[in-house]
Amino acid sequence: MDNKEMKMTIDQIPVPKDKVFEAINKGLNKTTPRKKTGKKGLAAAVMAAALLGITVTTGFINPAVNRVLAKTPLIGGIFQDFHDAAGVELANQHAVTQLNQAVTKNGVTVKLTSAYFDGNVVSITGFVDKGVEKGHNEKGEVSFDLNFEDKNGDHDPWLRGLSHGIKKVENGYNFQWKMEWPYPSFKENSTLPITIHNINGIKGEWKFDIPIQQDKNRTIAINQEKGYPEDGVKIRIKEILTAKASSSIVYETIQKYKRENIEIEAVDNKGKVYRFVNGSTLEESKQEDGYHSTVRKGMTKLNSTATSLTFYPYLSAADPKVQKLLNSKSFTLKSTRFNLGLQVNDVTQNGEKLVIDYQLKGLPKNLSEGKLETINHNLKYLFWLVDKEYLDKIDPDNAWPPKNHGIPFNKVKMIDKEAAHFQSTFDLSGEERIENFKLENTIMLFDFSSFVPSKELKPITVELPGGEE
Amino acid sequence: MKNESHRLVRKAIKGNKSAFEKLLQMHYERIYRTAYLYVHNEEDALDVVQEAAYQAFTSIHSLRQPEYFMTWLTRIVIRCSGQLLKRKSNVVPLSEEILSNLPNQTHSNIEQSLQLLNAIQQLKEKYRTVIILFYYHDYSIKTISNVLGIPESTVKTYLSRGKAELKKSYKMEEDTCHG
Repeated sequence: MDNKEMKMTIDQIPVPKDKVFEAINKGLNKTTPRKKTGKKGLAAAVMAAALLGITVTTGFINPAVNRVLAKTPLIGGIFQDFHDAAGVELANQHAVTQLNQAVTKNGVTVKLTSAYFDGNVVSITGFVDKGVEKGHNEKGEVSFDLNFEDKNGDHDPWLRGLSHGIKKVENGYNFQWKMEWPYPSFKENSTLPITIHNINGIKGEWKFDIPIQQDKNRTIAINQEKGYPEDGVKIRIKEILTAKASSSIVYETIQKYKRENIEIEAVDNKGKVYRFVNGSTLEESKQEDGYHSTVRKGMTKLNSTATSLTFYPYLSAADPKVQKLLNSKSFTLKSTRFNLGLQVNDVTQNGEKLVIDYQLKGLPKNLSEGKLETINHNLKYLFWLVDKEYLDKIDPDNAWPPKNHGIPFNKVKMIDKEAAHFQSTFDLSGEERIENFKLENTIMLFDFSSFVPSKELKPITVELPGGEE
Repeated sequence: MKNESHRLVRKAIKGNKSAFEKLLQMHYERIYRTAYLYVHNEEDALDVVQEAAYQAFTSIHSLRQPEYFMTWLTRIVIRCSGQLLKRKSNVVPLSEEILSNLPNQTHSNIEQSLQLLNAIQQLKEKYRTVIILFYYHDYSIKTISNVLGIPESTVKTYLSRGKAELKKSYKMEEDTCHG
């Protein structure tokens, strides 16, 4: 083995470019969860960049995509550019609607070229001419501010599951928008109105009405439930829908604690592993027995010969943040659900710095170096300081300290490994700060959740009635 | 390209998010593949990319020398991968899924690639990291020592032990295949 062999091998790992770009974008936007002022928030803007000459693809083509492409109609080519294997398959099956709708506004032409609706996925492809380069984005970047149906700004369920791809072509850019059908029930035939408000800052509006249609899905009703009383969780597998190129699953979780994350993997009786991606929340409610949430997730296409499916759920427990007004120098906070504690030894303000000296209690003994390093790292993000007057301004669905009234980060120093003794220093004059900072008006919040590892719940096996419509 | 990259890094250090996003996009394949080498499935690798993007952006102001951007970012990607593995503490085995995702080459090449990826996966974490940084990222012993914050002599030890283990399991699998 040499460097070259190693590199070649690693370079064969396929990279789903649009998904990686999306992950990058999501990661970055997590840092600015506060919405911008004005009627449109960040979520309403879709941006993608086709960096000229920089993101030269490796020449990797998925073999499955490659094989079918030879006989794929022209429209299949655009799906290949966006690594959309389902799109290529649908193009082969002639299940993609070709469109030819073009609108020109303020010197920018947008043309929508295709649409498909498969299972819970809606895809629209199009082209925008190089007129967009006059906009305020840098060359190679295209950002759309758009809404679907008659929705406005962020209150548009289509935007939640929207991903996007962009590719530089002659005279402009090809793009793909992929959305998840956001409603509990499907319409087999409908039109989807789209309004693009602005592109790269150039005002529109560009309006389209796109037909979306698909043949009836094969639906397998399951309705099987398993309870985990010890963890305060119930999971109900409701149904699996199989379309031409993809499947999707609908399941409901009932949780005693809000914001706990349940991830599921599945394996069929033939050993095929199923992964679940994205997902739209169809219904959410708080009822007597807990927080109900029904989600629909895309999944690997169900093997038609499988007779049973076993689901492996994982639970990432959430522990509500604990809080304390900083009007005393030493105190102890306890985790609501777990046997963990935070013993604060001292709180000192030195000019523009606030130093909190503390020990973590209840951690396992003899933590490995790696684990300690992780804890040391995580502690940077686990404390929030928030002005007490602004505590109720934290949006529970998008929790982040209010701008100018909270500090979400700190610098961590490990004092004594054995005693899990650390010091966190908060910069009171940093970019994230509290105006008119006074210790006695400041609430410290601490999150114990990250100290609890995710837990494997007992699997759920369901029988699949073969061929049931 | 290098100057363009440095210009973007300097903008990013000042908090320019669009510059930072471009930087990550420039290196997206390397970031993703590095994560993938640890977590071995697409979904988790994407989670690592997202978390690394977040952690990197919130701490880039602390990066003093733009030329070390990539090594600094790699360290974050590795740390996030480790965090995810620890959180899930279940390593997804290399499955047929990966086989079917590999490019269409001759069959034996795929087998060889799989063996090597498998062998890398079986390495102890510290050996694996050093092997990935040395062979895939082309970092020098000195850079790896900086990235991981361990002495150069330890890097050398890990590298030679990692190589030896890799050879052993790679060789063993080859033998089984051909034998």
